[in-house]
Amino acid sequence: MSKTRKKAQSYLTRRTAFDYIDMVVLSLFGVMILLPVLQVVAKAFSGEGPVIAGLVTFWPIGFQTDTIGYVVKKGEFLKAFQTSVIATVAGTTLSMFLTVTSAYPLSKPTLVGRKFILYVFVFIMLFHAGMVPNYLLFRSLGLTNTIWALIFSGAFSVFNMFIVKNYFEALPESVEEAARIDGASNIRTLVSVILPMSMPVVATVTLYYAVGFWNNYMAGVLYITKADLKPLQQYLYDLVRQALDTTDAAGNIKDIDSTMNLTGESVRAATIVVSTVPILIVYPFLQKYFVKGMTIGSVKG
Amino acid sequence: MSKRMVALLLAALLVISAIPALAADADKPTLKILTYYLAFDPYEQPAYGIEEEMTGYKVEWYTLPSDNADQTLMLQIAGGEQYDLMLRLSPAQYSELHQAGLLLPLNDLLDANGNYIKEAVDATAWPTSTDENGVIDGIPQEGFNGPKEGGDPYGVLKTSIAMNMDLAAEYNLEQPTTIEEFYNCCKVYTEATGKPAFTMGKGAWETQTIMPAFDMSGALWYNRDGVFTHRLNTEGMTEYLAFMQKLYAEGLLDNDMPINTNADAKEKFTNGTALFYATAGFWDADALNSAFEATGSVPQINFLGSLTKSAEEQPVVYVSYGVNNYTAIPWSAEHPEDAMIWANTVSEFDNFRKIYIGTEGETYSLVDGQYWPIFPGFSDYTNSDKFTVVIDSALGFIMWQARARKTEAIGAAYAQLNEHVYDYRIESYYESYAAAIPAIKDNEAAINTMINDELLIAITNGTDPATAIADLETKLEEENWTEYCEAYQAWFEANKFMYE
Repeated sequence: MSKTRKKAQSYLTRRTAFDYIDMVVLSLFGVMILLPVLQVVAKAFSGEGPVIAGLVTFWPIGFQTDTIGYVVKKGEFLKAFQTSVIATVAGTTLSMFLTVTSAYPLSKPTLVGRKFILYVFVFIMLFHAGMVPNYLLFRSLGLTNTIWALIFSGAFSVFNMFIVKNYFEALPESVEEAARIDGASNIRTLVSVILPMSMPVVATVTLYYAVGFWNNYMAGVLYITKADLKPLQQYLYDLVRQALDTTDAAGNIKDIDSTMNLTGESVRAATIVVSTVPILIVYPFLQKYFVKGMTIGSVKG
Repeated sequence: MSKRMVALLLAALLVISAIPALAADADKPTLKILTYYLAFDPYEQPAYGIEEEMTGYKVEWYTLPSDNADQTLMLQIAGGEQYDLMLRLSPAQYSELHQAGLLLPLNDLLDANGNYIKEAVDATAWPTSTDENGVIDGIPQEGFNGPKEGGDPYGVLKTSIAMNMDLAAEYNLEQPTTIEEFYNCCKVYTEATGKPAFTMGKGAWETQTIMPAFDMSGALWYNRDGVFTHRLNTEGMTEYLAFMQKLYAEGLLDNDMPINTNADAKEKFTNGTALFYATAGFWDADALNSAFEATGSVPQINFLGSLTKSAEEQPVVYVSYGVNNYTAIPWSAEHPEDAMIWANTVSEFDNFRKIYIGTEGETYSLVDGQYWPIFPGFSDYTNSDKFTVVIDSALGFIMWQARARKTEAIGAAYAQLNEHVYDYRIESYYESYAAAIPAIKDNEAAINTMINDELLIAITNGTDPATAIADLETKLEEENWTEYCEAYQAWFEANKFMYE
C-alpha cells in the first residue's frame, strides 16, 4: 500500500475531537427523545396510584399488565385500531401502486409531454386546495364517513414519487434493454426487472407511506364523524385531550359526568404504548433498506 | 367445499347480519344523530339498545372530534351533511348555526310530537332559542346543578379544597371554616415543615371554596343593588387577590402554582408535601386514595366547606342555573318528524330514567326520594347521560345523585362535602342562559383567558390588586370588553326577575 493511500485511509478512520463531541451531542439528543417514551412505557405498566402520586419516572412502580389487557380489550380501541390497520395496509398498497406506476414512465426521457407533466406535479406539490374544498370534494364523491376517506386523503405524495423517479433514473439502462430484447413488455420490465432492483427505495417509500397513514390525524377530524370509524390517532388524541381539558376558562367543571368518567393516566399511557407497537414492528423489517434508500435516488451518475 | 355448503354458509351469514335489526321497526327510518366527542363506543352502551327498543328507531351515532369541533360542525352542516338530529350542541355551536340559518324551525314539530319536551323545558330556558318572531330552532337542555327555588339543596356542593386530616392531626390543626383559620393552618404547617401548605393547579387560582368569603364564586356576574356587576368590579375581587397574594408571598401557597397542572398539584398533595389541595371534586376520592396507598398510608381526607370571613357568618354556596346544551335539527335533515318523535319519546320521564340509570331494583333503588346505585348493574350506566335529551332539571338533579355515589369512597366524599349543606345560604345565578348571545359567545372565552392570565400574574407579582384590575380593564378593551358587558347588562335588564 502506497504512503499516500495509507495517509488517506488513516485520515478517514482517525477520530477527531469533533467526532467525539458529535457522538456526545447526538447521544444526548437520543436520550432526550428516549426518556419521555420510557416514562410513558413505565406508566403503562404501573398501577394508577403510583402514577397519580408522581412516583413513576422511568421504571414501573407496582408492575402490572392489567392496564394493557384492559386497553386491548376495549371495544372502541379495537375498532379504531382495526380502522387504522385497514387504512394503513390498503392505503400503503394503493399509494405504492400509484407512486411506482407514475414514477416509472416519468423516469424515461423519451416520454412525450414529460416536462409538462412534471411541472404539473411540482405545482400540486407546492400548492394545496385547502381543507374546505377538499372536504366538499370528498363529500360530493360520497367518501365522507367511509374508510376510503382515510385511504384516498393520503394516497399520493408527489415528493415520494420524485424520490422513486430519481432512483429509477439512476438504474442502468442496459438492464432494461436486455429485458426488452428478451421480449418483456413495459409492465413486465417494471415488475420483474426494475422493482427487484429498487428494493431500497421501495422499502423506504413504503415506510414513509405506512407511517403517514398510521399517524394520519387530520383525515379523521375532517371526514369522519361515524362513531365506529374513527382512526386510532384521533381516538388517542381525544383520549389525552379530554383529560387535560376539564374546566372552562372561568374555572368551572365543564361536564361533571365526563370528568367523573375520565380515563386514568396509566390507561392513557397504555393506549399510547399499544398504538405505537405496530408501526415499531414494521421498522426492523425495513431497516436494512432504510438508510440506503434515504440517500439513494438523490445522487445520479 | 360443495355448492350446498357455500349456500348454507351464506344463508347463515345473512340471518346473523339481520339479527341486530330486529329490535328496530322496519317501517321507521334509521336516524342519523350527531353529538359531541364521546370517549366510548356508543353501540356498546346499554342506552343504545334501550332506546332502540323504546322508540322503534335504529340510530346511527356520529360524533364530532374533540379538536376543532366547532369548525367541523359548521363545515358539515353548511356542506349539507344529512344528520337528522344534533344532540348536546354547546351554546356557542347552537348560536353559530342559528346565526347562519342552518337550523330547522321546530314550532310545528314540537306542537305535533313534542309534548314531553315542552313539559320538561323550563319557561326561562325557551327564550334562549326563540327569535323575535317566536320561531324556536333549538331545545334547551338545562344543567342538573341544583333544585328548583325552595327545593332540597342536598348535593349542590361538588368541588372544594381537600385537606389531609392525618397531617393536620400531626400539627394539631382543625378543619378550618373561616379564611383566618385557613390562613393559620397554612402558616403553622409551612413554618413547621418548610413546605407549602396549599397546592393547586394554575386553573384553580379562583378557588371556589375561598371566594364565597369575599361574596363571589364561579359566577362571573352579580346583582349588586340592581346593577349587574362583573366580579372583576366587585370589592370582593380586590380583597380576594390581596388574600391570595399574601398566601403566595409567604410561601404558604405553592410557588409553582402558575406552572402547576392539576396532576402536579394532586401529586404534591398525595406525596405528603401539601396539607391542602384545590380544586378537588368528590369524584377524586378513589384516585386520591389509590395514590396515597402507593405512598404508604391512606389518611383521612376531608373536603372543606365554603369558608367565611368570620365565624358568625353563614357559609354560602353559589349554584349555577342555565342552559348547558341544545338539541336541534339541521336544515338538511332527511327525517325531521321522526327525529322529533325520537327526541320526545326519550324525554318522557320514565323513559328518561330508564335510559339514564336503568331499572329500579336492578341498577338503582329509590329510598326516601334519593337515588342510590345498585352494583354491579349501575356501572354500565355511567355514560348514559350522553343519550338523553331533556327532563325537568330539578328531577334530573335528584336522579343525577345516583352517579355521585358511583363507588363507596366517592359516595362518602359526596356525603361529607354536603354534610352541612342545610346550614348554607344558597345563591343562585343564571348567566349561562345568556351564553348563546353573539356578543357574549364571541368574546367570553378570550376575555376569561385574559382575566385568568393577568390575575394569576398579579397574585405572583404582588402588584397592588386595584391597580392590577384597572390595568386589566384597559387591556380587556382589545377583546371587546365594553360590547361584552353591554350584552350582559341588556340580558340582565330583561331577566332581572330571575335574580330577585
